[in-house]
Amino acid sequence: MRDDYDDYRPTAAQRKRRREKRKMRRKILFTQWVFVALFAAMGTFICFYSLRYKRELYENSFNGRESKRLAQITKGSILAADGSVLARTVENADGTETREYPYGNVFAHVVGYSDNGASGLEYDYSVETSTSSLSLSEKAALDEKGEKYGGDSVVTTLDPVIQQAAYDAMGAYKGAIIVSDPKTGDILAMVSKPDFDPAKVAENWTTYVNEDPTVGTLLNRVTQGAYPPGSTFKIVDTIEYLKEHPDDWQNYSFDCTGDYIVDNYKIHCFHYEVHGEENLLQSFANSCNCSFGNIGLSLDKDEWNSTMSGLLFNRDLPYDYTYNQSSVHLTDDTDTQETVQVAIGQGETSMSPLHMNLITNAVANGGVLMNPRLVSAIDTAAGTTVKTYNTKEYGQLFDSWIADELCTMMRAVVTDGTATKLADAAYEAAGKTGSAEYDASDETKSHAWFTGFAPVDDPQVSVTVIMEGGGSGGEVAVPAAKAVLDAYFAKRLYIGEKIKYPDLVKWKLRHHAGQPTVWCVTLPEQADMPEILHSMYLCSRYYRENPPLIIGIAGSRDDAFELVRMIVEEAVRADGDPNVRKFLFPHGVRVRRSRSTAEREDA
Amino acid sequence: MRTYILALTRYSIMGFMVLYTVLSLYQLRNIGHARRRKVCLYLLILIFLINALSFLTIAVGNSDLSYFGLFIAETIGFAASVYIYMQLYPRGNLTLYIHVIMMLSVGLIVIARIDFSEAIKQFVIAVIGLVITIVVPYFMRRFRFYKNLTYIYAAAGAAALLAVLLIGNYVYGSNLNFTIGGITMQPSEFVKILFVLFIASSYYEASSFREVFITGVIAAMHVLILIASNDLGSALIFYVVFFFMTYLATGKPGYLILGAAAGAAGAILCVRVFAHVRTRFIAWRDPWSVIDGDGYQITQSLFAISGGGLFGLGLTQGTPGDIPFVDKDFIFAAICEEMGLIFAMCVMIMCIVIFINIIWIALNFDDRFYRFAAFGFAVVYIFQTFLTIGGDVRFIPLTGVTLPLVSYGGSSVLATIIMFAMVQGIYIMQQDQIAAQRRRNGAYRRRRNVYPDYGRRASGYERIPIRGEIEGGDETERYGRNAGTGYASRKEDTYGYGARPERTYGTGNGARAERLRTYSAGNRTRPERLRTYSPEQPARTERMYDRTDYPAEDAARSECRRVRPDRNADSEGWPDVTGFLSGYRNRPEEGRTRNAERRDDSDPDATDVFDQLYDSLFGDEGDSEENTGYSQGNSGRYNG
Repeated sequence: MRDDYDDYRPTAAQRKRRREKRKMRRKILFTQWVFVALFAAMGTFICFYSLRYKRELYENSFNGRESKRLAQITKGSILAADGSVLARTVENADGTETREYPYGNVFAHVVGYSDNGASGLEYDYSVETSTSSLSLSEKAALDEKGEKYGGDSVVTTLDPVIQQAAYDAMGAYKGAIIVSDPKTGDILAMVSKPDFDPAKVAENWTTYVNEDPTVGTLLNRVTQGAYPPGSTFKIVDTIEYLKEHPDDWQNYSFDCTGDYIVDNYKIHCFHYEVHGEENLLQSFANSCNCSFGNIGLSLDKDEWNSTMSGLLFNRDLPYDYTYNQSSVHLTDDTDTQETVQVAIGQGETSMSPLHMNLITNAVANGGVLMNPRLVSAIDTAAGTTVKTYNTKEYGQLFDSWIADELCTMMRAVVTDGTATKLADAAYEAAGKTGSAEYDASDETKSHAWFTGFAPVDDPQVSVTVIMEGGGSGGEVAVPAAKAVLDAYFAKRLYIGEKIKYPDLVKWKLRHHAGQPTVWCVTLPEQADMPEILHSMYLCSRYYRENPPLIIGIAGSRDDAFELVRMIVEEAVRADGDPNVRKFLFPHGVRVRRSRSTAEREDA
Repeated sequence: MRTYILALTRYSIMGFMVLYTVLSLYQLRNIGHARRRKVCLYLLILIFLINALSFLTIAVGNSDLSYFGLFIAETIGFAASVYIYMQLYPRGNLTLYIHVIMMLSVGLIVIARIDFSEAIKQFVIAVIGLVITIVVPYFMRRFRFYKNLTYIYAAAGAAALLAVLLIGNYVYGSNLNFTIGGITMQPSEFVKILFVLFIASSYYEASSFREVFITGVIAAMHVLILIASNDLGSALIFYVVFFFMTYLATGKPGYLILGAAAGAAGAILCVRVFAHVRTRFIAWRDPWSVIDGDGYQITQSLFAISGGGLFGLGLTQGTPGDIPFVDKDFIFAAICEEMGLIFAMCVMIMCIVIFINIIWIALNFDDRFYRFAAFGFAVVYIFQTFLTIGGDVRFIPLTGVTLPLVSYGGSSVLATIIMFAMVQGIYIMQQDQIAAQRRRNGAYRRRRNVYPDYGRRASGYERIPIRGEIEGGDETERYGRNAGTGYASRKEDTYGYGARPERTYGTGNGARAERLRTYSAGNRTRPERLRTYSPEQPARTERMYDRTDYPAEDAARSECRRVRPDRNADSEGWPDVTGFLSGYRNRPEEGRTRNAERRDDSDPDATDVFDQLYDSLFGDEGDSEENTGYSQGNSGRYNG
């Protein structure tokens, strides 16, 4: 059709070209999208890779960035739960810096060393301690003075008093002690011997390298020690037995004649003792090998395996740092001999003290295991909290009625059984001893185990002790545990009688909430003797900014006086000197504060 | 004060860069000319701010004020070049030019932080390059014969590469450059341009198997020479460019697949046979095992990239010097460390944006040679960027190529700028064609007294004819996004008759649609008819006819945005804040449309200086679609 637009119409050649152009447009756009997709993939890869591996790349020894940072930042300190300094960097007269460990060998393994590589918390938190989270104004102020920034401090859950007690209790034995709080999972003390001086590791490096491999000075035996559990494994057997016989476990009865023979295989009780007729509780209390050999053979192996798996054998523990898994081998093909050995905690079974402590915590906490927590917070050098690590529940490992029964049985171990050395303590302790043989040729050689908690009706602390070559658990490990528990129950927050809910009072004090009926016994700065302060004063601005150190809470003024009297009496009785500050905090104390005040330390 | 500057500027630098990226992505959309120019102004301001803050940080961090000298020189140099460019080539793609300047300035910032003297050298070469940019499009317009120089390109390229192979310096295991009279040149960068032109001209006439074979042989020759001189990165780039351009020219995806397969086979062979290739492969797969030897470079790069985190450590706070060759191959790692991952991602997105810009120029050009050339340049640029960044982050093995425009390297910067200058030249030629087309349309209509019918909806002030919606819109005919609406969805979205008919009509067969429109909307040829649509406002319809005579860029200017009656075309409804950017200096007579002038048939084909010169020298060579009656030279959706 002809019209005025003929001149506008494309010719055939032009139409052909336009078709071609359209097709080419498709190809060009295809190429465009290919490259856009390629770049999108690359961008995603970059972001994920660098953000995911940031920590590992930073810690790599070839990465020079840490040393550049440390030129600007003083490495942060590691603090105990009450503020005592476990590790810090000080500047020498000639300008160099040294890492100081005020407690020396006591915290050797858990805090670790940092001068020839690193271990322990020094290794695990090297990124945090070489980062400074001070606010910009604080950094600017330091820049004006020409000083380095302070790195962040790591606040642990460790308690120096208990750690020292555990360290002393270990004596000359090799082994490990771990003390924790079953309700929160906080680790209060972690001692491993043989120990070393963390400030002198580089000097003594050749000694450590050339020493006998069985010594293992630098090895943290709490987390990486692999020991046969011995009789402490009977806890696991009992859990399984109770699971399998929920209704008639009370009917269990065994007559122990000192020997137990089955399938041409014989085991005997410790020191060839004869226990006579016993039910489950008595077998447990007496730690009767024969009885538990019998129990072990009666258990269903599949269920037993799944229980042990539920108790974290052959599996990862919820522990964030270096550790070794515990292992136990039990299959359908395991023969009688091996089964009996497993039941009494010998054979190829190996456990770490940490794992043992976790199982004990589960028993003490009604079957619920809390994740072990070593670090509670990261603070800036000025005291403000940067990051908090909350307590976390791992899960219910077994029913709470099983836990209750086990508590009763473990109390029986203390009152009537193998751990009678704990029976006369001021608190009601419960636990299980163990003597784990480790030398097939000589059955007198055994490790001394004890794992327990106190008080039994409301467990607040659990302790696991192993002393290599200690012999009998009841003889050697239990007194060590007693020393530790004594230390725990000795110097706590002094709580008056009228306070019904001490945890609530503590929480309110921390959050500056007014409590008209609470008086606090405080230890003011620069003073050695306690003072009494009504808790409402803590809401005032001065005390908000300068929180006092509270050593006791009381429900009335008279109660508070009574507490002060008690404290001073204890101090005089212990040291002969009424200096309460020296009695309670011989290594010094630091109060963790909020903003606006600089770090203060007395030592 | 110093602490605050060093700690806080990185956030603002990152913020400005993010803003820059967002704006440049916005520029990719369908916006009108005036708005585009306004955004270009914002982009320039952002570049200035980023430079200012970065140099401030570096100067404060190193306590050395001489960095400001470079900053001032840079500001003056780049601003002057932008202004000159706008004046000389008002139809040029200002956005692309500004992106080039942005990449150059990012490179200058990081190189200045690493080594100040290198930054000065880089700046000098950048300025030389920008001067060349001014000259190249003119030559491209003038001399149209280079489409036929196929074998000259091939020979020149091969000769240059052979020269490197034979007399080049053997540097760190490969012959990359040679020194003449104290100046070190890396010819493989320039040969990339020659190579692309070679392939474009070889496929210009025909792209049957014969041409593919011949081109392939010659391309293989180039690649082999490069492999022999151990420049594996460039060899790979040449290889990939050849296959992509062949795919485009022949239209057969089989070539891409063949290229990928052969490439994979060749790569496996190289890894097996050549020791140095194997070391690179091992360094890619597991650099930790060779961390103190071959893997040192890439692991230091990884430390740097992850150490910076999202926001970077701040300029002068990191240690980019730990990475060997950080100013050449690993500049991306230095950017990541000191300026942060977000900034580095923005730089990456900018590379993609530049790539898309060039690709869209290729998309819309009618002449095959220029389309191939633009496409080839785009692939060269983006593939080299991919190889560099991929190697830096361990996405692919290291190949030893640099990030164009950012890395330190005179030949690389110069060659890349020349490449962009040629792309600009292509764009300007395209815009010239569009302008010429529109002029012809206008002249035709005036001569024949035929005007498009905007439909009954296009009455009233607010009904501004939109781009593509030329013939008005019957609701039954919906072509393109805005068709049928009869008014602009955005007030700037107009510039003229003849723009993007393909997008409007969908199938591209506008002739048929127009015929339909002619019959459905009534007789177009009688303007009187239209007056009846709005009898109460006869004057307005006249003004609508004014709009048929759109000159090239003026269409989007105040005429179209005017929503109040304004008989006096001199005064504008809007203050002309962007006037200085509009570059209408050359054709003032087209800046205003007056009724009287329009009716004057004296000068229907006003052209600018260059066009007149060209026509006088060469006449009309009959470049493919310039003479089409239809506005097909003008798929001007993309209009920088």
